Amino acid sequence: MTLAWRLWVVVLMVLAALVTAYGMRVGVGSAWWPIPALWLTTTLAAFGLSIWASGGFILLGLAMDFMGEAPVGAWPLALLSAYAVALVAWDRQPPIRVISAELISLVGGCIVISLTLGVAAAIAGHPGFSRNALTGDFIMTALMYPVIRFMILPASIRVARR
Amino acid sequence: MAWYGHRRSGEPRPGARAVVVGLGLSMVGVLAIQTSTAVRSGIDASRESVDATTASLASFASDLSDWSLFGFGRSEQDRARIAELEAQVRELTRWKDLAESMTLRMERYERLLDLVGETQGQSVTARIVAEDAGPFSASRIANAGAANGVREGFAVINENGLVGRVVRVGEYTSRILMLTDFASRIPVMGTRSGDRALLVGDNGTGARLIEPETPDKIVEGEVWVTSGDDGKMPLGVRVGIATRVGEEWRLSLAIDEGPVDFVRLVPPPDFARPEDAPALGGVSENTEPTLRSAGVELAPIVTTVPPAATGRPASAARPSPGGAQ
Repeated sequence: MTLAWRLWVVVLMVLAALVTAYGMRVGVGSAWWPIPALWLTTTLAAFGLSIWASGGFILLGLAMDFMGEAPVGAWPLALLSAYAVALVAWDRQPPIRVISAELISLVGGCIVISLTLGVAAAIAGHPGFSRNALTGDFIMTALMYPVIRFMILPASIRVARR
Repeated sequence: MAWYGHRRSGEPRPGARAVVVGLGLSMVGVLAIQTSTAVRSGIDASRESVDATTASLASFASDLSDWSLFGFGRSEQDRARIAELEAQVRELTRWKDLAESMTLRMERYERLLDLVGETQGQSVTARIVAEDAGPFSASRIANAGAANGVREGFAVINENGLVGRVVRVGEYTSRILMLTDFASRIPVMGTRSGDRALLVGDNGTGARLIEPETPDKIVEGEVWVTSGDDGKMPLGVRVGIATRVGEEWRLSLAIDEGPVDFVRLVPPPDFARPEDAPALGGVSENTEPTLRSAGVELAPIVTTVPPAATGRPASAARPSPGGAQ
């Protein structure tokens, strides 16, 4: 990957952390708020496997752990799992269509994040984990994805993946 | 060549895959070692400083959006808000005077009755700067910390009632565990039934009463307050209203009646532990071995009654019950 792409990844990660923090301000914390990291796992996987992006997900996940009082390592593991699901989906494109790859990445990401966080809480011996708290956030993430994808993915994903 | 890379997508990269899998496995390892209390306390220490960063980030992001999205045309709104707050301050000043005079009267009554009241330390008022209602916790961050005199265990109260308690303190921030968090356990009591129970959080959805002493006496719609049984919460702070859901009792929490923005961080009641209390004047420590072992191993204490008084030999005298004389 080029230096420009790596810088772009860093900018995206910082923006994702800021959007997550913005969701913690007073009056918004209890509302449905998107998980920007899930947009990144879905879209960055289109560029193929990248250690740079994986490292970014670890750091972003750690920030989310500390912000959300999660066991340390829970969100990094969840984001890496979602990234892996997205990589598998994008690897099948072609023959499957771009929209299908994105859909599988997004929905699969939601499912795998939900499961991984539950497992992480069990491994770390965390007293409680509420899957319901994530449902609204997943819905918001999915609803906003059609707009966000244009900001992250190149104009023609077919060219990008050639 | 695209700006994002030189490599064709889909090329097998076993090395990179191994690195990513290794990163994932290391995260599992990090999670596993957190079952150790020592590791967890170390992480908690680092969380203290991160809380301040989180609060700053939330504030920064909030300011950014206020500036970019709603920066214009707010002055009229602000003026109206200021006027409203000024009216509230005037009203509250009247209440403050009333409260002060009533406090004085109550102190005099307590002195007259020789009643031991609850001594209360200095509370701190703070503003909530960040809130978290994620899958792992229901908590808030307030902008007062150790530098302001806040300590772990302080009760957190707003105008509606109990909000939670302080679980971690940074220098200028403190993390508040909400009543709805899984880990929240608050002893409470009903104001009409007098029943006592433990209020347990349900992570975001509310809180339920467990182990009520006399559940049949609980009244629907009854106000529940803190019982102060744990010695950490002040007595009589409003918590919520009892509602029956199926077989269990839940509380409609007072904090849901309005936004949680400004809170008061109240120290635990200042009870001196018996071992820390100063020695009583003129009373020396009891060193009598037979009395100190009373209730555990009763020593036979023989009363010395003259044989002439009972008409029996002295050896027939019986030990006094409980060893007391």
